[in-house]
Amino acid sequence: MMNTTVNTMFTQFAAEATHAEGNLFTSIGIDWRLLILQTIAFLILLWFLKRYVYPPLMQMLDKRDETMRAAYQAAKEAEQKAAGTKDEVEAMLKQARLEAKDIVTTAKEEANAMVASAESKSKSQAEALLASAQADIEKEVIAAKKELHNETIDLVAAATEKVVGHAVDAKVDDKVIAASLKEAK
Amino acid sequence: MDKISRRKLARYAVDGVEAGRKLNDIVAELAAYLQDSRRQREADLVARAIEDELAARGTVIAHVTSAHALSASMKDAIKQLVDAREIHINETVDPSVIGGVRIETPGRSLDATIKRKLLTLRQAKM
Repeated sequence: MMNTTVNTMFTQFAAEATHAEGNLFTSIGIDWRLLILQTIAFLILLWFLKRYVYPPLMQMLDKRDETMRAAYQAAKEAEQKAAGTKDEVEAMLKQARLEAKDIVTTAKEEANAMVASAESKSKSQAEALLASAQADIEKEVIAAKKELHNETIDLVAAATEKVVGHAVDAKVDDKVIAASLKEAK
Repeated sequence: MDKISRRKLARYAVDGVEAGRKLNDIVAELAAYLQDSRRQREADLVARAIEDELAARGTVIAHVTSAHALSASMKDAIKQLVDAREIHINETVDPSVIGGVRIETPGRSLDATIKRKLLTLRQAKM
């Protein structure tokens, strides 16, 4: 507002001066008094700006610049940190994947070993059971054969006793005795 | 009283028989002695001892068991088998032997009965 007032005053003064005399400057359209007044006004304006406007403006700009730089720096650091963290995470994931792979491989090997052991044990037990059963069967067969043998002998002896008892009379007995005595000699 | 052995008793008895003494008297004496000495249970053993003594002197008593009565030829065959100076056959008929003959003499025994053979067959059981 103050600038406007000052400009109005200088303009009025310059207009009066221009109207009072005509010279070289007016011939080419330049009013030297107005020029001087405008120059002075400009300088005053410049001083005013420099004194009251530019410092806080520059300060604000500097502050903004600093804030933006700090923010940029922080963002950069955060980005770097994130990148580092990402690398760390990837390294950990890689390590974890390797360990998991090892664990799975080991578990598979152990499982296969357990299955093989169980199969072998089962096979051994089955073979042992089979051998035991076969041995039992053989024993039973032998026992049955023995029993059959003995029963046969008993039957034959009983039958022989009955048959011979009826068949041997005194005559036959004499022959039997004669044969026995001949054999005994 | 000292105990007299069966062998001595047997010798006494055989000597008496060979001397011509009566058999009944000899047997009575032996019986009395066994009674006095409380050796009645040895009677069979004394009899066996007498048979042994007789056998040693050439007189054999053969105990023959058969299912049927022996014929004369069988008795002769048995005497030939026994082969002694003098043989006396003590015959027993036992139908349970079924057939064949069993001959027992002092120191020897022959069991050729069918019963014995059947027993041997039964003993073949496992």
